[in-house]
Amino acid sequence: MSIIKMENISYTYDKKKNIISNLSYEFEKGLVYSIVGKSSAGKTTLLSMLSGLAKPTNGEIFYNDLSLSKINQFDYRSKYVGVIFQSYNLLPHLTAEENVILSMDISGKKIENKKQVALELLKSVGLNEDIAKRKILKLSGGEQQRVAIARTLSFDPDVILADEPTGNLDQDTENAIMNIFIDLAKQKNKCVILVTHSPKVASMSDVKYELKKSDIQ
Amino acid sequence: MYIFKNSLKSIIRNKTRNILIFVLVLLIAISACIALSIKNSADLARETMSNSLSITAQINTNRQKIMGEQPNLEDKSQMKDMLSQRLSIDELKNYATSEYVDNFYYTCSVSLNSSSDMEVYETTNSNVPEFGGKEMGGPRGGMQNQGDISIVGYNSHDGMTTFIDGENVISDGSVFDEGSTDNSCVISYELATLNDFSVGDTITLSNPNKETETYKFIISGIFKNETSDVYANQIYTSYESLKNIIDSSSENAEEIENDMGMTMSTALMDTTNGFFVFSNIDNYENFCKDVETMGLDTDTYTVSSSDVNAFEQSLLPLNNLSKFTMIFFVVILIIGALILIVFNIFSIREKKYEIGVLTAIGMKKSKVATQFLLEIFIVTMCAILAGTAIGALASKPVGNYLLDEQIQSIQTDMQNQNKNFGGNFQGTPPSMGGDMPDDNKAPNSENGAPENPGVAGNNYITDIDTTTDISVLLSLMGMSLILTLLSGSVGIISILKYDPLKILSNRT
Ligand SMILES: Nc1ncnc2c1ncn2[C@@H]1O[C@H](COP(=O)(O)OP(=O)(O)O)[C@@H](O)[C@H]1O
Ligand SMILES: [Mg+2]
Repeated sequence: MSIIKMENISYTYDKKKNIISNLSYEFEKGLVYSIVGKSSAGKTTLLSMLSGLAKPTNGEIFYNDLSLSKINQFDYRSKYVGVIFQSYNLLPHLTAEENVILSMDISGKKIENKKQVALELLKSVGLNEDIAKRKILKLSGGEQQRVAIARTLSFDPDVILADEPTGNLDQDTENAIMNIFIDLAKQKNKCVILVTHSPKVASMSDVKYELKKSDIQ
Repeated sequence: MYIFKNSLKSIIRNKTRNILIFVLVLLIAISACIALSIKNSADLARETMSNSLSITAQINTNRQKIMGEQPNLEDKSQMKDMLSQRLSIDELKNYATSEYVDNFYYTCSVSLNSSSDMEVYETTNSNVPEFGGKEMGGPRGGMQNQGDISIVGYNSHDGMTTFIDGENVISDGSVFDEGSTDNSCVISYELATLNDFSVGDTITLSNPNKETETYKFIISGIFKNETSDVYANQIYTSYESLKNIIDSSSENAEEIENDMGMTMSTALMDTTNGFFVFSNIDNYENFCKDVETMGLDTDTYTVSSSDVNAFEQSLLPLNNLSKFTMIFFVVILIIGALILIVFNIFSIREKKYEIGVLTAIGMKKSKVATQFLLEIFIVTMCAILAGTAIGALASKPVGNYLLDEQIQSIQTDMQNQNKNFGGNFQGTPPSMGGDMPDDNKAPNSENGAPENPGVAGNNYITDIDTTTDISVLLSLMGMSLILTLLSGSVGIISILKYDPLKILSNRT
């Protein structure tokens, strides 16, 4: 059974040209999807719609057969869907650890010993305690990317949406992160949807979907 | 809970801005606290004073209105007639039935001549109280001859205020009975000594217009006044005794020609006054409205009370101060609120990214707004509490200092006025010179009076016990809430309008 279903969705920013036209697709639990496509194909736009940040101009998206337009978008993003943004969107004045804990707080989920959980999550993406206690401002792009991943995993969402999550990572780290995603899908039955340019990532995932630039302009 | 923690963290993170806000609100709070405390104590002073003050009022001709509205009254005597109009005792009694009146008493007075073998007291005081003086509508019967003794009849002992407040003291005998018709009277110690009168003796007085018309009074008591001789030639008796005399005089009246060749009646002209007593200012003010509904012609008559004037006068500096500080406070509040709004607009701009991130990762806008408001509120609240503490301590010395300034400025104004109008300017009410409630009392302005007759011995409230009580505290709390909401509203609006999608396109 699909967890996320898109039905004939289209998206337009300025009412002239469609970024996405009449797209239908279903995502299932337990699988890693990679969405590939040229730059400006509309990959980020697609993730925005899947995360509820943008509403499709036409068509509908369903989460567990419930239309997204009927679900509170804040609840949806804080509990069920974790988004790893292309530009990370971390709070720069907070430490890595605080950023992770903040997401746990917002989710409202009961999590014992948040500090401990946050540190372990950061460790699992390759960030030691020293880095965990540093402010985001003082972290490299790759480190920030990994904090963003840890933050998303912190509240245990059903769906993970990631916009080029390994874009700033070296080969080894990319591998490690990919293994985390694959584990989440296989062990925890999550649905992982990645946007990527990396052939390696695409080859490691279960389903590769190529988003073509819309022909209908 | 995490929202609260986050706002605390945010406060610490933005130290500089929050310290500035703190100082600003602190200043507002201090001035607000002082202003409210002063206002509070002014209200309190008014209330306690008005509750402890018993007020005597009269209904007199509305001189101001009559003279003011008919400046071109051709016939001067017409105006005089209007001014000398009087309400009858029955009419006054009717107004006295108003529920607000605590007590009502009335007097009448006539002027009689001493017999040739009797000596009257030669007063050095030019300011002998003429019963029914200016305030009471002016002496009547100006065409008639004036006697050298004035007789005042009281219907009730309550009306004998100079005796009640202890200015006049019975030194021998006793006061006539209320309602007595036996012409028993009390005379001054001066008259008694000059003529060797003692209690039980009889005095014979005559109608100044008709020497053969004489009246006998029996001395029931002698009164002494240690401080003034202004009452020396006054004789007090019961209203009823005097009324009989007046009635019989008018029954036996004849037409005669006076010095100026005009025809007039020999009947004794009496001056009647009614006194309404109220237990507090509110009752007095209600009475003023009540008499109108009871049909008092307010074009001709007005209710007035020197007690109330004195009361208002004593509160004048404090009320002025309270007014000024309130204006000052409102101005400060407006300026402060504007600065806070500007501050918050800037802080929201800085926070736009944070708001975007928080909403993008699923924090509800209402919670973001709460966190944002909480941040301002905590800072504002701390500043208000600190300001209230400082203000509470400072309000007494500052309040009293400002009050002194205020009194001095009023006094300076008055001195100037007095200079301009030659000393004892009539129209300068502030000189109540301590003679509060009594109309019968003489103004204490003998020769060698103090340099500033209007100023000396004023009854201003010169010391306030400012109270920063729970009501002030609550007002301040309410104010901090309003300030927070007001200055935060700009931020909230931009939070509520914020589209988290922007966060994705705005940053790379
Ligand atoms: N906020 C926006 N307003 C207008 N056009 C936009 C906006 N965001 C993206 N676009 C346009 O939509 C297209 C797809 O963008 P995007 O989804 O970010 O592509 P990708 O992530 O695949 O590189 C691009 O042509 C981009 O210029
Ligand atoms: Mg993109």
